[in-house]
Amino acid sequence: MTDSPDGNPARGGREPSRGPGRQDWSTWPHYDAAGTGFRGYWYPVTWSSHITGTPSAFTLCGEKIALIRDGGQVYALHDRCPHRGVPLSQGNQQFPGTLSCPYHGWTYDLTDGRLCAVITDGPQSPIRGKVNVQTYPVAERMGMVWVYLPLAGEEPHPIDEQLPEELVGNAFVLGGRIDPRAGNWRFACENGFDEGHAKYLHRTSLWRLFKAMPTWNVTRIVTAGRWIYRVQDEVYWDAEYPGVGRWSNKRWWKLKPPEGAFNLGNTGAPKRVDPVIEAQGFPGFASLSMPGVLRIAYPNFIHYEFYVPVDADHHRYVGVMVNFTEGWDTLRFYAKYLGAIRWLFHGEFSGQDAWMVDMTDAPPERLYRPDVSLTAWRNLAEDEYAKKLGA
Amino acid sequence: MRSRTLAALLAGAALAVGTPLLWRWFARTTNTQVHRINQ
Repeated sequence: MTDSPDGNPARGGREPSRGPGRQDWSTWPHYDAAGTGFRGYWYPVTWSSHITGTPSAFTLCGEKIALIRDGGQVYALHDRCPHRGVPLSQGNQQFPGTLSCPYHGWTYDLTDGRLCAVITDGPQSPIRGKVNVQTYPVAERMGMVWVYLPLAGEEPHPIDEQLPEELVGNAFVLGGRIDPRAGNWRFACENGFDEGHAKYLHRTSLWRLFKAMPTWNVTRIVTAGRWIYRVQDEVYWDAEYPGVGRWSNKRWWKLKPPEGAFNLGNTGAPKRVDPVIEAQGFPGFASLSMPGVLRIAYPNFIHYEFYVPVDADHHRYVGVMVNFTEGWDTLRFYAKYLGAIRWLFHGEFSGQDAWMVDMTDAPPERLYRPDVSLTAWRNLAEDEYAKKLGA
Repeated sequence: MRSRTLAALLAGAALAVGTPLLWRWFARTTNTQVHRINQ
């Protein structure tokens, strides 16, 4: 992966190369500089049930963080003891409401990171109260632990302002998996919203075994609120390519594709739409918002992908399938998710994306018409982040 | 008859103890979860 802070050869004061296409991402300076993620946002880190009284180590936007649960509450501290640089996540709790470094027993208050005791220097240790480790705001939503990475010590915005609107105030069931993946988070995000890739890359996936996907679309990007949407004005299921021949994703064993354009569900027009999903009035089935949240709306469920920056070369894929159902349908959804969706959609299908994200090496890049989805996302990120910095 | 009842009881107990353990192992090793979120 190449990006300017991490050593993009196309930048860094050198004479730009004369190759065709876009040589760098200098059009989007904030986005270009966000190789390790955008600060000032909440990020899902792990499942809530994985955080216990034994500290766990995570890397988020290049920062090492220790998570621990105490009295039912999750706390996040910078995972480095200022004494000798040992990860606090290797330590444990010696007193309620604290975390002790495994090396010399430097003990930190979980609420504010203050050094509240030094076990090996006695009760009256003079350094007590003079050292702090950074703490981070933590919230639990959707069965996950979310951590806010501040820009400069500011108070976080309410997490519900950042979650997809339909997930705030509605009951739902969800199934999901969290996978560490290679590749920069921006490549993962761009891949998720990439107009052109699914029809070709995923045509062989088992998830799409019985459903044809279009060959190509005429797509435009619509902005609504804090989201951008891909809106399909024209959908083509096969096409004649001059000089090379005909190409189609249609096969005799796949369901017959619908007539005309559609903007809910990525393989065809819906028969019946879940009332919660219908009430959202999504202009298009694929939408994206900061800081890298993809939403794919199907008639009866919504799939989300959160691309969580780990460092410049790794990200965390948080894939979540949500169904706004209740009662016994909950068990049916659990069975469907654990029996099929988890393996086929969040597994093999999404694995094809992971493969491409790991292989992507841009800029330089030569974009084509469907890449309006990529540039629209970069514009959104650039504008939103500039606004955030200005606020 | 008594041995059949005992076997059924043992199998039931193994299932009652084993299923949550198996689920915990699966959820942790595959980082997979299912949840109901009531708001």
